Amino acid sequence: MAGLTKIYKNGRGVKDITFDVYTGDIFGFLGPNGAGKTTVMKGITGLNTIQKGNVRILGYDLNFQFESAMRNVGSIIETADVYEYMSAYENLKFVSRFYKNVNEEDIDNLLELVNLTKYKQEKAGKFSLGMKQRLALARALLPNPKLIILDEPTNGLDIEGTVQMRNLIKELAEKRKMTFFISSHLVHEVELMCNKVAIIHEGRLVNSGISIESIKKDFNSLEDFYLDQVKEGGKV
Amino acid sequence: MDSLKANVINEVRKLFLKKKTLAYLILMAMMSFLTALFISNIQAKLIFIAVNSISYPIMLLAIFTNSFLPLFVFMAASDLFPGEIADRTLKLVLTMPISRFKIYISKLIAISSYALLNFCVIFFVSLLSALCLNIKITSITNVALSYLADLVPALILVIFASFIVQFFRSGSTALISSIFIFIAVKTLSLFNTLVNNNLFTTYLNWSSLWLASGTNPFRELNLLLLLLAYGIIFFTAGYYLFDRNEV
Repeated sequence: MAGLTKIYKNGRGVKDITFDVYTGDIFGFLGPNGAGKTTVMKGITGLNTIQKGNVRILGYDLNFQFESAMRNVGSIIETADVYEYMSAYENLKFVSRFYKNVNEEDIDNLLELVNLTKYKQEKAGKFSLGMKQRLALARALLPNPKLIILDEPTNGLDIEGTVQMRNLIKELAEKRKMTFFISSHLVHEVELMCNKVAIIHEGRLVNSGISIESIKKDFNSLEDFYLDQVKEGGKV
Repeated sequence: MDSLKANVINEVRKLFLKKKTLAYLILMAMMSFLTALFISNIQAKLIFIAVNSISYPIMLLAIFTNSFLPLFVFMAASDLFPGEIADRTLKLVLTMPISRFKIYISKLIAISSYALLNFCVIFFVSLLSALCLNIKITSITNVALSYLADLVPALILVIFASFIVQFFRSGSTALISSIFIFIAVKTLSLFNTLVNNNLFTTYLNWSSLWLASGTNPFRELNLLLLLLAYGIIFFTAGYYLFDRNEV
């Protein structure tokens, strides 16, 4: 992503966001509420139009090769929404129609992975928030994408649900070699889940992707690093 | 093309998974039969009848194209465009490997197929009811041609509805506003002949013009071009608004 800029009519937005996410990363995008995380997430999935800059996913330019770029991307943006009038199975079938290599067995396997096999034929409208989150994650994972974009994936989840989601992400990154780009305002969550982090504050990038391991050499925690970085930028 | 095909199936499925879509189809079928039953009863009891029983399916077509069809088309368009923005489900398809142009086309195809299905239901139920209840039909070919002809303005109506609903972000507001806009346009055309002659809404029951005054190839071609022009304008404007839509 290079120079991504999107300013809304009210003057808020993001300016000149540049960073790279590499294969195998669990890349955390950390920032407080209203910092512009979702704006960036929407920009890189084509949900909003960016005014400046460009986004390349696996070498494909999002503006000119949208279909090719999104073929290897799974995403949950803003909230884990699903079609509430469809069953869990139908929600996944909806996605599978876009991919030739996804079959019924893949749907069943994924429902098992997110612990929803029992509720396969139940309408998603009757699901709890945690179940909807898991179904949304199954939708994102179904085509076996190389990159998963998750916007605040643990938002609204209880402790157990948060731990389950975190473990699932780590497992997928390790076993299926998937790359994750995850936004969050929870510093501890990012510290526990990710191996790299970029910090955004008031629409600007404070740093563009540092390994959490190297951060821990100089700071006690990611929280200390975050406060130090934001202070250096003169924002706190 | 694969992604377009996939999304056409998805959009049609979405429309028909909603109970009201099927309920309205059944309602139309029932209405077609009950109207036929009513006509056959008054035919038996009265000497003078106001209804031309010979063209019952065509009479029903005139009622359908000017009242129920716009309602159903606005309802389907409101569900598939602003309804999905309000439900926050539009992003689920926007993040799939399919361009916005193909998404727009597939939604138009889904709404058109719903309109087409309504035409089929009314055609078959009105024909069967007329045959069962002994309401005379002189020419089935004429009836079939009328239904086919009225499909053209129905498709323009689908494109128009898909354009209008782009201005709204809630399904119910879009539906109510579309109905009011349609009524306003219809009312306006009542007071001004020039406006009336040049609005596509006047020709929703296009076939009635042929039946009333015979077929004039040049006039029909002129009307066809007028309808196509409306189609191109509404399609372009509708897609432009959809493409700029930020979810």
